Amino acid sequence: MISKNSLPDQHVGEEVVLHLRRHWFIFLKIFLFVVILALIPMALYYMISQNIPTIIESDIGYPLLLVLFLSYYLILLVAILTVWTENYLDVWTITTDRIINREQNSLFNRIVSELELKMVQDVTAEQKGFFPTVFYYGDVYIQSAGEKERFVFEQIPQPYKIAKIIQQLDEKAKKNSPERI
Amino acid sequence: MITIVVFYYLYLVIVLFFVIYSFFNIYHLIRFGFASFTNIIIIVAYLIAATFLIAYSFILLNQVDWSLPLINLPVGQLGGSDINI
Repeated sequence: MISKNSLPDQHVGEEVVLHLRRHWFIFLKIFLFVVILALIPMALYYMISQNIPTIIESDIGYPLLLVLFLSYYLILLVAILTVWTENYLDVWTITTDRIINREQNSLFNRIVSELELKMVQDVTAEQKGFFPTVFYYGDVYIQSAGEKERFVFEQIPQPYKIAKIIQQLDEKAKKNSPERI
Repeated sequence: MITIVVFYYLYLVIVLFFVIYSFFNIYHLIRFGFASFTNIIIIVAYLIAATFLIAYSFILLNQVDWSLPLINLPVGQLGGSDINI
């Protein structure tokens, strides 16, 4: 596992300011969806036992149903873990010198990119929708002069505060930089 | 004679898929995740839940008589013996 204070190719004097992940409400929504999916086999079993009990009582029907339901729960469990892994491993790190974007797009697709703070041109925070407004999470868009033109921090808590922090760090980085941009 | 044990073998294939996929997920969480309380708790909780689910499933499956034929056609009325497939 990675230490929270360690950075890839750490610069001299560079320190971590923030690690950002998706807001906890995103994980809660996923969890509630999974709970509903987990209830489906139970509801199906109840409906079958009430309406077509001969299936459950038969020598072939019961083992087949058992295998199907158990397989469903195994696949659901591994699907939950996969969704968790893909969301939990999306981390945006702000340091005193740069922004590091670590995205797990799928289980075998990981992208790590970074942007020097002095290359930041524009920072925009967006909060759209009922739940983002109530639970105060949203997206932060960072326009850069680098190869990758736009970084997006998705569904992070307190987007306006984060945007302000990035702007302040950007001003400080440009002030300390010997180059003019 | 094909018995209902084919369902059991099908379930074993799904368990194998489950174990392999779970391994890759936990590998990613350990390799790329932070050394945090949340990460460790999730991994431990998942391993406990997976172990419980697989153990409980085999307890239930062991109660089934897998030697029963898959299809049993009674053809006694036609003068022959039952056809078991």
